[in-house]
Amino acid sequence: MDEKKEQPQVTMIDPYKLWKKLYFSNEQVWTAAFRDFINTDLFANSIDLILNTYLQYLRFNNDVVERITEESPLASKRDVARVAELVVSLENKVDGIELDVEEKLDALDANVCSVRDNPSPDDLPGRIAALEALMKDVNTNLIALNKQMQTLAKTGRAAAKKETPPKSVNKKAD
Amino acid sequence: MADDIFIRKDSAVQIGEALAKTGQDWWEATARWWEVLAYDHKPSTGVSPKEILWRKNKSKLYHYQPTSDRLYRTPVLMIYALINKAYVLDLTPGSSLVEYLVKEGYDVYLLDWGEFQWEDRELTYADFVYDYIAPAARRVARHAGSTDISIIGYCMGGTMSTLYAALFNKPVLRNLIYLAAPIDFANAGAYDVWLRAPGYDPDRIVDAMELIPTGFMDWGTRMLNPVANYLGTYTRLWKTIEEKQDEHFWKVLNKWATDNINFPGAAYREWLRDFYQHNKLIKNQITLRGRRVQLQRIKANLLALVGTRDHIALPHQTAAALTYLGGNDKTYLEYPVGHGGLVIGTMAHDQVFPDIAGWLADRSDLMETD
Repeated sequence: MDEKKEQPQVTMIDPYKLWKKLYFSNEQVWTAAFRDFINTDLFANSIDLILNTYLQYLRFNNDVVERITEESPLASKRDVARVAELVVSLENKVDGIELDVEEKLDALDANVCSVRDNPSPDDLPGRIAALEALMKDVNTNLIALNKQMQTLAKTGRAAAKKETPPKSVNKKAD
Repeated sequence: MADDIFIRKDSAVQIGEALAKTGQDWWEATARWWEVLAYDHKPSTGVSPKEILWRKNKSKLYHYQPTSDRLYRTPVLMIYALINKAYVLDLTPGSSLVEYLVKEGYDVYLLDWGEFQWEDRELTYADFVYDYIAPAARRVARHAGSTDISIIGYCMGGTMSTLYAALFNKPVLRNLIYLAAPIDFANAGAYDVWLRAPGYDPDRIVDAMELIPTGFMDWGTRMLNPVANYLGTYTRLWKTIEEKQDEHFWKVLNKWATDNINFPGAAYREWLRDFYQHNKLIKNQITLRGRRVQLQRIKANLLALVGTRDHIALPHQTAAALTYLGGNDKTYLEYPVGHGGLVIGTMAHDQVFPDIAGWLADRSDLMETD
């Protein structure tokens, strides 16, 4: 008796669920059928016929509109586009320059950083020492040269003194 | 399953009450469905904290602020397609590739193309590669203090990354990740039938439209799966509400799917004629500003991720990269998802994102510690 009570007494088709099930099953079938149809030459040729007819109308319409706008004192779509193209072209040039400058600056930065961060440990001190030695040599030579010049100058003055008597002595003799 | 459609109660009165309750629930679900479509504000997307590192024309190069310690010196640059918007890579907190990689310790950048307008109709792939992607890559490397970078290219963004990778070698492209990126354009599914039809002429389209409008681009994508995109997306919302699931994710996804941008006409012409119709990329016949794109020159480590149910970039189109690119380290992973499933949804978050982060971790330099 208990088992009998648990069983539902009345059963009927749910029209909502039936409709939903039918509809969505049908939709799947239509989807597949239409996908097959659009893959046919018949479909492709049909849409081309419609498309080409529309394109003929569009070209005729464009020609008429263009003639009217050419005569019109107002800027046409083409005129506005022409200005926009110039702006874009200018932007393109500026952009190219900007990128070049940025990359050159990057390269410069990289070089500076490279010299700062990685001085060649073997080469640079050696070159500096060589330069310092060279400068010492130059300095020594300059000092020696200077001494020689001074000596020469002294010798020259002494010789001149011997050869030329003092002016006052000459005057007294006269 | 068959008895799902049955209702069992103790009495007819209870059945009546249950039906009335379901009827009431349906009415409320339908009212809420209408409210979401008609009134609800669009959810916030692309909210990961970021700074604009560089901007040019309408495009912006974002640098995402670290939310954890930066572990890897090699920065990651994401390049998105020229269709829809880039915020799908940073869709919403908890479902964002950007957020995931930043949390994993990567220095992440994203090149967002912005919204093309009439003055951009003459932009070509050469312009995108030379004037946008190359300077962006240089800036990313410079900002990150790295001599090499990783690139993640999603969909057409992957194809554009390939063009860049084949032409530029500074900064060094160390890792290249494709997310559903077409490389081989042969046997491209429905596109193959449409774009090779005798009546289809990209020159005629571009001559007439010049700037390809959002509606046309949207139509081309949605018609790949018309029932799912035009009808299924709304019935799916109703079902989500009726089954009392969170509708937030549907809203962010729908916002992105309907948020299209214009496509520059000159690039559209190249995309369809050179890539789809003549498949020039794998034949090394693409020439940008006088330089030939040779895929064998790309030596970067390659990770190709595909969705097996993708009907926009079919798996073999991405897998071709393993054959044609020149590097030695190549990985190919498949997931049972569609085109968006690689960056959106549970599979993306639980499997795709960790796979990308793990693969990159093995191939990126660590930050030097003091």
